[in-house]
Amino acid sequence: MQKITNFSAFHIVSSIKKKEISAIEVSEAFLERCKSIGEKLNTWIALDEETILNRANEIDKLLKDGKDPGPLCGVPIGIKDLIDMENFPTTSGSLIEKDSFANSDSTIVSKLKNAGANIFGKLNLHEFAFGPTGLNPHYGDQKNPWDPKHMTGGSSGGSGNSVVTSQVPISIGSDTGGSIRIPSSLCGSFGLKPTLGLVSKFRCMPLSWSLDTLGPLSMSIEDCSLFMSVVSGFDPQDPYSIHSDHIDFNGKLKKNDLQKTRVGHARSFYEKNTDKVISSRINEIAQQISKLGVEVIEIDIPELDIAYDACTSIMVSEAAAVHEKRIRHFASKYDPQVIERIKPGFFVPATSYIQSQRFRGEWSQKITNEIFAKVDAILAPTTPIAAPLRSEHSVFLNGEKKETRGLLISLTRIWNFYGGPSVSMPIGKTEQGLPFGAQLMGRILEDDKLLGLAYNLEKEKICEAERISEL
Amino acid sequence: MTLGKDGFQKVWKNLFNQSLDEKSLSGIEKILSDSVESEKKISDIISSDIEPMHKISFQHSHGRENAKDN
Repeated sequence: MQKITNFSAFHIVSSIKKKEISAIEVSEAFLERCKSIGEKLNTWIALDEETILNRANEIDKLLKDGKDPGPLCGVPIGIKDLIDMENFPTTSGSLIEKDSFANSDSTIVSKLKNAGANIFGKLNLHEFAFGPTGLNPHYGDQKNPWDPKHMTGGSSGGSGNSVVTSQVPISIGSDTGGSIRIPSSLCGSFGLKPTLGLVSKFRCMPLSWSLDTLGPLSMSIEDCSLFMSVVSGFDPQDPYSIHSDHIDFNGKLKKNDLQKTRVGHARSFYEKNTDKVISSRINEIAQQISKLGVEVIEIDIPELDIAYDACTSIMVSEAAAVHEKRIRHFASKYDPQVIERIKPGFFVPATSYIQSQRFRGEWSQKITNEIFAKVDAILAPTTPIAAPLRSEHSVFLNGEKKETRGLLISLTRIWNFYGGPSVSMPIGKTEQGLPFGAQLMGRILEDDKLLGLAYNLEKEKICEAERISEL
Repeated sequence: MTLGKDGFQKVWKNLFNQSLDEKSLSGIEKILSDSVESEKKISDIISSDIEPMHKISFQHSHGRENAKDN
């Protein structure tokens, strides 16, 4: 029989509801993994055994009383520690916030609890989510499960290493420039950055509020979709929240032929600055999906240089506004590399910020009207490299020395600027056995269609997440 | 046109009562230079009727039936 910790969230829900296993058995099995593996990989900032087991007993009691706990009945979920959960501190990976106890749940946690999930604890991250490596001097570097000398990628590093090692079937990450997709790529999971505003960010620590999103990392597209069916929806408490009643996350996951699907291959977007092994695999995928009937169309993304600079102006300006008070009082307690990234935001002229946002609206519309009129999704690598060593600040790529941090976010952040969904899928490994991912980007508010396409690629074994049983 | 390194130093001192080291000043200068250059390009190409802040709306989603804007 398959080990409980290898069950998908879907499988857990159906098994508990059929009373083949109990919520307490599920919780104990996953908790054991968290305790034995989590410490080795610096996965967790907070993990409270008593809370977990009490919640599992509560779910079993509901079932015994003939009540339905909900669509995530008994599913263990890890949350990135910038999301409020009542009675737990929200550290944001920082010492400054280590005693900031939340007095109520964030909207996303509240929705998960109402759906019967068992929130296991708070996952480690890059300090204040401002960095793509997962290195954290305060709570320990998040370590790559395929080789702990390597980085997980970030900022949601604990979210990435937790699902691949079966500590939880689903984790939540946040993504401002790639922070869900980068650890998904480097650790080998699936990860969805949803459309901006589709998932409420109420009571979550912002990095750059007009770019921030929350989304799932998991070992299957089906589990990403299950999660999204619970957490998406309008929240009047989040000013960026949008109505999404028309999106049907479960209805689209059908095995179907791909004859009518058009995928844009954005070769010029990535090829020059991507590891040859990864770009070859993307080319191979373009050929594989073409054989399945997908129409693959070569596309170019317009005005990329301006969009990159505008994205940076927005991100650093908003981050500076978020951190101004903290820096005034606690500058010395920041990770020195994180505060360096925030500093320029205090000097970006207001006109640059405003013009960047105005350009963003126009550029975004252009991508929707011109690119997504021709294709249903865009294909590119998630990261141009696999996981670097944790000690590597720069790497050689195609003969040139490049800064690690800049490389890691180079292919993801532009899709936060656009605002639409982007899913990372595990598509291969390097000779050293380190995974890497491909991204599919979709039209704004077509997250369900994008997951539907990714689901079909998963069923065709074009992408596949592999679990690590032993470390 | 940005403040220059002396100007950055004065603003930082005023805001946080601290000084910026050379590495920080160079980092700030690089990002500001890119930011101002891109602002010039944006001013040249942007339409006059674009809203000041970007927000997702259902204008972005074509072909959806029964879509509601908030």
